[in-house]
Amino acid sequence: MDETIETGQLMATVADAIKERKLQPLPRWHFALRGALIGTGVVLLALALVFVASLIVFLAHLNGAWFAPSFGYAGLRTLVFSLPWMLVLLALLFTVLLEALVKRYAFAYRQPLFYSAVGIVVIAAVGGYAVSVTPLHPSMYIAGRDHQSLVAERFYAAFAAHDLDDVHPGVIIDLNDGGFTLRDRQDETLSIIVTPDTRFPYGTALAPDDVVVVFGDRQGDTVAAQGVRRIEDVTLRHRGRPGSMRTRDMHRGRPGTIIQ
Amino acid sequence: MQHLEEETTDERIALRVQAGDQEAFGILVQRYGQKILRYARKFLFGYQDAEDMAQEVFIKAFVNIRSFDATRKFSSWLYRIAHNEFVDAIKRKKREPIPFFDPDELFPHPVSQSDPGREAEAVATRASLEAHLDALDPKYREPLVLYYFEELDYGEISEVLRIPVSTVGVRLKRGREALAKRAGALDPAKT
Repeated sequence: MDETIETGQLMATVADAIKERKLQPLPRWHFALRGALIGTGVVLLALALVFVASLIVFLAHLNGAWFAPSFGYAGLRTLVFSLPWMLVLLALLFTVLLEALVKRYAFAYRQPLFYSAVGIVVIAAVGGYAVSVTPLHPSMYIAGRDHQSLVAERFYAAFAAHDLDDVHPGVIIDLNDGGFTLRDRQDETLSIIVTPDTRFPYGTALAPDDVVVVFGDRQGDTVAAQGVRRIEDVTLRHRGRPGSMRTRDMHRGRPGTIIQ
Repeated sequence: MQHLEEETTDERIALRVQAGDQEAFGILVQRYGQKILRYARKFLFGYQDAEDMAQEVFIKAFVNIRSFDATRKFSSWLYRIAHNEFVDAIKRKKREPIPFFDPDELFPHPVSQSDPGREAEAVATRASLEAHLDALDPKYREPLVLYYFEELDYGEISEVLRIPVSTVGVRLKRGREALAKRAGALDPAKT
């Protein structure tokens, strides 16, 4: 068929269809609203991803697994196996959804998927870590633990990881010849045995009231420490127990006691 | 109208349609009618409803004309609508697989900037493509059609398909290889 005739026919059918279906161009606000919804979706998903990533890091801090890799390969294995994998999968799902939304923008689809995916993972990792070191999670966790907020209590009760058999975060109550006594998050008192093989990756200067994480298998109330390191953990410090104050007062003036 | 037809750019005409001059849309149909029909016939090879598809492309373009950003190329925007319409048609018919995810989009690939002897090769490739459209996956058929028949460059194809420019290069290369293989299989003298 002649191209001019064919084009003329196409023009006529398009014009007829527009007239028959009474079509009108959609208003600008329709597209502006759609763009705003997509933009809002991107921001909300990014925030959700950062929050989930920060929660994963906080939970790993809470059960002490975050610090376990400093005690070697066994510690690394403990960290990997203790990760809240449901949350990790949720973070992956958010990453995929975010990637799908971001791919609508030219800056993303013009580049290989690898770049935008790495960008999202970096944002999640850096943002997650940054949020995890703010008081957000610790203050919410403490509010929940102390029954000041029902929402926070239920939220962290749902996500808080179980205690690990070989990682024990807690506060040193006192030092003794063979090691020290530790009060853990459940207010249990553990006897920590330090041997010449015990690793102290960040030094041996420990004193009562220090918050530490002990790596080693528990036998009853005794832990043969494979590793010990001091950590910062406000959720362990703010227990509101008068005993900890007494202990601190007892040892005031002793900034650090070298074990061994 | 005659003045508009001859001198005004696509983008200026699209702006007029956006402002309410619906008659001006006819000029865009006139300018791109044959191109979209050809694109439909080549890409939807054997689907037999290219005219209906082309009509739907222009209707969608008309309805969504106010989403067009006149600082960008109208042709890329229109081809993008056509691409979506045609891919939807292929999915509806379920005759050919359209992968949800293409690993070629994952990592960067080197893009050939110069291609000596391209003109002579293009003529041969166009003829081969014409003869063996049915031998190609839609994934390779579409960029080849856009490049050799619609004469879009890598950047424009990247905009239409929303894939990285380097992936356009990879698909064109693999498409040409598939064509050569097919041509060789049918004509042993060429192997």
